Amino acid sequence: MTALAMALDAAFTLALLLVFSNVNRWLGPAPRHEGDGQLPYETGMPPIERAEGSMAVAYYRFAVLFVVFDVDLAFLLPWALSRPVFGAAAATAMSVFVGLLLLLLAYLWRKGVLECKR
Amino acid sequence: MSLSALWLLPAAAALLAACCGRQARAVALGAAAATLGMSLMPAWAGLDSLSRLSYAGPAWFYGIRYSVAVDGLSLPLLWLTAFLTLIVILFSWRGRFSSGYWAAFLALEAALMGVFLMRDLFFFYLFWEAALIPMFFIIGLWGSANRRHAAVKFFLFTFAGSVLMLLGFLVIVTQHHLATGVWTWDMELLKSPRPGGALGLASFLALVVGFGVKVPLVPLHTWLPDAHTEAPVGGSVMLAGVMLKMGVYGFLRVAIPFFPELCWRLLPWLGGVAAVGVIYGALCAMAQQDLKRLVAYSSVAHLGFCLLGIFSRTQEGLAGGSLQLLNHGLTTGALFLLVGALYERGHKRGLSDFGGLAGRAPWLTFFFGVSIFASIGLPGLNGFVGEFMSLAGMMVRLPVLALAGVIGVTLAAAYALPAFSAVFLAEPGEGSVSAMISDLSALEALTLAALVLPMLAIGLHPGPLLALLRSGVGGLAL
Amino acid sequence: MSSFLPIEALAPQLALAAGVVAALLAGMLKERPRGLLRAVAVSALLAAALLAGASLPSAHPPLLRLDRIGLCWQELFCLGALPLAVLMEEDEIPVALLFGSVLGMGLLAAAGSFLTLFLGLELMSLPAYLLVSRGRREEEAREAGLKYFFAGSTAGALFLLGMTLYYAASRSLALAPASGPLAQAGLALMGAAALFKIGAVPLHFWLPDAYEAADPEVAGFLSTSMKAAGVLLLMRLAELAPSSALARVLPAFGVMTMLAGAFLALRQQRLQRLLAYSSISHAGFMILGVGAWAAQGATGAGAAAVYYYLIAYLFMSNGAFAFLKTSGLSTRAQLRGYAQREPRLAALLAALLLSLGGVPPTAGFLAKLLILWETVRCGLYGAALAGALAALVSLGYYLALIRDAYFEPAAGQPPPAALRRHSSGERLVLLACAIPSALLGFFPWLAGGLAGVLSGL
Repeated sequence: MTALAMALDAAFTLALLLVFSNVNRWLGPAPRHEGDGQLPYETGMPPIERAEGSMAVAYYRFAVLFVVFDVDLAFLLPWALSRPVFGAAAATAMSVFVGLLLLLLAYLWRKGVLECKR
Repeated sequence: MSLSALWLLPAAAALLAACCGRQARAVALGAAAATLGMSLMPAWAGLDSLSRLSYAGPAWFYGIRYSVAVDGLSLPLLWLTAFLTLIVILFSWRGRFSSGYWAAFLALEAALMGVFLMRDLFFFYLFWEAALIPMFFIIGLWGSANRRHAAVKFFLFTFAGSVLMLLGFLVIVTQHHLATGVWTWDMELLKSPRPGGALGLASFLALVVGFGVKVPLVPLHTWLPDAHTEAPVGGSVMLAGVMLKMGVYGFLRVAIPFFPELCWRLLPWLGGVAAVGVIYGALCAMAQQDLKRLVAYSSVAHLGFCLLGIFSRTQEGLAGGSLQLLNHGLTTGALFLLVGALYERGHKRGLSDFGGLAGRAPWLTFFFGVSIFASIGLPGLNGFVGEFMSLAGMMVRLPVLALAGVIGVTLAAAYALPAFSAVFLAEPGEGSVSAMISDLSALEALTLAALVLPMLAIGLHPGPLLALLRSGVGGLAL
Repeated sequence: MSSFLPIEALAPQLALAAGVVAALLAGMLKERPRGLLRAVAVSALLAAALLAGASLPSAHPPLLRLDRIGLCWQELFCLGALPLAVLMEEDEIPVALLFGSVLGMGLLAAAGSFLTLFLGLELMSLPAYLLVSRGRREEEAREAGLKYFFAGSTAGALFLLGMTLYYAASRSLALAPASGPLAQAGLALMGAAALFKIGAVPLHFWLPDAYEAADPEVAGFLSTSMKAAGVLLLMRLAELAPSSALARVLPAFGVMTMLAGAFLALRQQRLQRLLAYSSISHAGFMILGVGAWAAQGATGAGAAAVYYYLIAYLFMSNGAFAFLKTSGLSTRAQLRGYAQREPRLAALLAALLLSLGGVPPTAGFLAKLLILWETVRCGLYGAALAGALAALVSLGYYLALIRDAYFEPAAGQPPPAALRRHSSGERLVLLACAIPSALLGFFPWLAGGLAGVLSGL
């Protein structure tokens, strides 16, 4: 019974996936390539450069570091709420955890990751 | 004295020789002489004391234990190994070889002595395979033109057979444990109870293939011509003189004692394969133009005789077959040394490249003649005793196979004598290098004399040696 | 403290974490003495190995469980990483990554719950992706690292899916047996993830690129410690249900892997890629060993065959990759005539290659023998024959390498990478790996000792 359910689930997911990928192609109008018809619409002017472009890697670095310290915060919040229950042991553990992250911060600071260079 | 010293001494000497550059040759000579001396020592004490020399260590892991022993079969083979190693070292004395050459031969000797000494299947297999490594390097580093291909082919072929043999061992050990609850790898204890039914047949066939590649049994023999021809002189002597004996020794020590009924039931097949080997080897030898290849194929034929005698499981057959092992070691060793001497002087090996050497090199001719006649089986020399007894043994069981053996003897004369006459007696033809062939040096003559004298001795007075061998293999007779 | 966080159970991991801290601190120094990071790396790994050896089996539900197998494997991870610690570049990031990876492996070994298992799995894999992408040839290394990352993340996702299915069947995340089709499906998916990690055929496609593009010493680490971790993961899964479909299909995977790895390696001309395929072939033997172990009831002592194989492989593979780093060779053509240029290094290479091929009396031979023995004991005769065939085929290319090095004349100029002086660390690692590889086959009592250790005597 369970095996049947699993098989049906997998089949349904696959079917849904296929439908969603292709429904535009099946139900939409036939694409007409008229000159610049495929270009994005920018008040009729031809685009100066590609929309994607690339960003400096430093932004990505900051984003990742933000995520790391955000997860740090995510651990700190439940700890702060439950600390009265666990007592000294929990305090030590969290101190070690935060200490490690502070070490990481010191390391990044020292290595100049946190600076914005032009 | 300790039996383990018989392989530890050459092994240690091999390491020593590899490290010292110029004295390696002397180290090798000293170690080989010492090993030969040590192996002869049990002979003084007499036959009954042989069992007192055995040693068995503590059980290490699932019944594997280091145990060595010697008996009437393995003692002469140990003598043969030590003697041939000494001969090879003496013969190569003048050649300018690096220290690795001497170390390789010492390591080979250590491994071969180990094969004949070990009574535990694990260590037997370990030394069996370990012998391949030095031989691989000997063929590949100091061999002739096609040596690279020959060395790899030799290794892979024999390794394939040996791995099957290992699987056979594993099945035997496991089935023994299932039947008795005891883990053991000891050759004596594993004889009963043995695996029966399909599993027993499969493991027996695995053993036959594994030993058969080494013997070699036709059609598992195709590695032999290349390996023997491409190896250097010393390598060919050790290969033909000792390593082929490992296969027959394996049959005598493991395959037949472990599966006597299967051997008996399959006697027509096993004997048939041996007989095919005798005739096929002889026919191939007749077609050869290269002297070394001719001698190589003759080895296939001669070991077929050994097996014919052994598979017959009669007293004469077993004794004769085992004696033929030693005979073949001596005669083929001498023949390869002589062909090597010819090649060294003339740089050619073809039958038509020589001629009329009887006048130029009398000692060479003499030794070559004696060895050829010994290998054909002329009465008075050692080959006759071995071949006659083997065929007598097989005549009792399956006369048709003995007849094939007799045809093989005739064919042996048919390839050996024309070769001898073409090289030594005929007139030199076009492109002959006979002018470059000088006679044997004193050292070479000495080593060959050391090989030829036992041929005469065994041929005229084989009694003591046969008695020794009988004490070892007599138990296998039906 | 023990009830909150079992410190003593995680002592080796704490040593490694301290190592990470030490590495970062050392990295912050303005003038770092040479060899400091190497010393930090080696001492942390040795401390972790010693602590793992000194620990006693204990259980700390719900997350941790230390048993004999886990502790022995932890030692294996630390020792397998030692050559990398000695040979790697003196930079704090790779050292910290190495510690992170071994820490993850230790967590995987000490896992008592699927959560810890998954945590360890991911923690050990992520630094490995980064270590691979730091290879010398930057473009290739980055591409290989990315491929490895995708493959490994897929494996992690498969593992999670299997975990959830198993949870649905057993209603708990503890590593305990459960029955039913859901549990079987879950085990199968998790087993697929473990096989992915080991590099079993047909899930091996990331492996040759990753091993070839990484630095040789990193590839050595991947092939030994990482494979050992994958094998342990597979063993933990097989242990849960020794008669499950997963356990019964393992010998077949083992045979497929060992044969495919051996045949694919025959055509390789680049040495590191050849070693990668040979690594796949060896993994096949390990998987076969795990299958045979599971078929015999998954006891402690029975794991001795797989453990010995991993130890022997540790020496052989680390040695082979260390040779590639020391000699600077990269293709088979460059190997021609090597024995005349560098006889000692060539001798060590020959010892390592013969051990990899399983020729007596090397350690590799005893390892293959033990696995084949277990296979014969289970009655899997076909698999044993396949193992023999795989050993023979793999010997074909190992012998070809020895032939190239020894029997061919020296051709042309050696590559520039081969002309530098060898550091003492490199020589030490090579010797320490090659000599045990060559000689351990003489001592089967070592295998007996391991069986005893694993069964708790």
